[in-house]
Amino acid sequence: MYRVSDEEIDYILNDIKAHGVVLEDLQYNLLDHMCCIIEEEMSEEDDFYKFYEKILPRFFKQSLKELQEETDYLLTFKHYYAMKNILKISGITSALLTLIGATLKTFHLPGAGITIVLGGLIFSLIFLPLMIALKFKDEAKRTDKIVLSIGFLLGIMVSMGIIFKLMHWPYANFLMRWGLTFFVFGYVPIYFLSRIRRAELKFNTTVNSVLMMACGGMLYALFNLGYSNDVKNSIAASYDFMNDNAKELVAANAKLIQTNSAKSEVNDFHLASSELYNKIEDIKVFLIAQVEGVTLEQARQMSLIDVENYNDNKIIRRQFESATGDFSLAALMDDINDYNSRVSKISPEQKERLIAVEKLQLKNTVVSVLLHQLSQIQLEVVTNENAYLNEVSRQ
Amino acid sequence: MHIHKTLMYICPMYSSELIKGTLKTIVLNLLKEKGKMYGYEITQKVKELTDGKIQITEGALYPTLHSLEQNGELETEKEYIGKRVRKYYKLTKQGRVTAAERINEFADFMNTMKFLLDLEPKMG
Repeated sequence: MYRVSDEEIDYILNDIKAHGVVLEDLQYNLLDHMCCIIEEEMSEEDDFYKFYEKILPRFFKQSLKELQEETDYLLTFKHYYAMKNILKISGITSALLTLIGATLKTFHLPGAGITIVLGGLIFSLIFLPLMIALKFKDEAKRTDKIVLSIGFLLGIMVSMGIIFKLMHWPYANFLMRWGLTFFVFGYVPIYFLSRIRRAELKFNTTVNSVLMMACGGMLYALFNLGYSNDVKNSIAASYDFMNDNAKELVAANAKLIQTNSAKSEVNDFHLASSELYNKIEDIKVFLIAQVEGVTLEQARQMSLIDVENYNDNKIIRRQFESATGDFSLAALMDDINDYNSRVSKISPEQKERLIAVEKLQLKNTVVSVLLHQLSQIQLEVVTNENAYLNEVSRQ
Repeated sequence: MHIHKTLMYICPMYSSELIKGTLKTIVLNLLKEKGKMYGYEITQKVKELTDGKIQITEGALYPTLHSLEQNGELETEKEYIGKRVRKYYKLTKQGRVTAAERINEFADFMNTMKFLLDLEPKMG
């Protein structure tokens, strides 16, 4: 009987390792098995290396690595049935929670947010990842494994984006926009092309592609939902109307002042009014410049209809509400208080001429509403002045 | 349904579909009879017992042995032969229970198949 020498053992072991078998136990099992075959079947005259090459193909169909892969496969998926059960339970739970959450939200009942978020998180962090793992096991073709996994990953991205959007968390738009873009324009065509040529899948593939394209496309159209153009035009028109009225009053006041300029109170009142009026004008120009990213000169030429980010609330929060400069909310409040104290000195009995700024909500709003409110204050300032000047003229 | 590519036998006599899924039963039963065995010994024993009608391939045997070991059905003993290490497999307590279950299940299956395919005359 032939005895396999130590050098030959090293040779076999190295060859097994070189073929991609990494599990040590498996390496030693195969080594012993090969040595047994050689010792049983090889005659003294045979050449060891030639004989080894001859018996090696018995172990596999294409390469020795198959044994490692098959072992990994059996070890990894021993929890296959547990995974399927979790998949079922998490799927049903997330569907129920989402339904309950949506119902609560529709009727403005408490607990809506947490229920929807829980449903969405179970869906995107347990259900979809398990689907990826199971598809990897169940699908026979490598392309199918990869294509379907990418689809589920994008699904995770979009559903996380929807949860973030519902909860007003940051990066919601980023997740939704890019998740949907890649899903509709990348994944669906790849899914379609990779399956359509297989006769047995043709019908299902077509139906699924159309469904995914339709749902994805509708979501895509939904997520950047703003006002219709008609509504936007009417908002801009009301803003212009208010500003035009204020400007007419400014012109009318200028004429009235000329006839009453001898009185020092009139000049004091006019000074207080025009300082606040111009200050607010500057703030409005500053806000438009900030949200549109243009210079102050360009912003001065723009009206609300030209402002594309009319729903912005982030930039104004940073640059106006919590800022400290000349064009901040704090500076505006100081100026309004100053105006009120000057006006109450001149006409102490007329409380309605004071600006009741506390009745306005200048915080936590969007830029179009903020601009409207600022114009309202301007309008009140010039109306007060007009009333005062008319009163003085009659005396 | 997934059919993994290497889980096949070289079996001159039977189609691989026919005996697919019985490898675990064969291994467990053999170990129940013989106590402890190593991989090569198992392949030779099956070949000998079936006159070469069923030949287990290494590609199917070792992954199955590793998976049975991981699941706690088998335990191992190592024997050092020079630079070689030989792994002997034997049934654990749980493995003995599984072996009995598998064998009963298969016996029952064979009876059902006999009846289904009308291979032996029915009584009465």
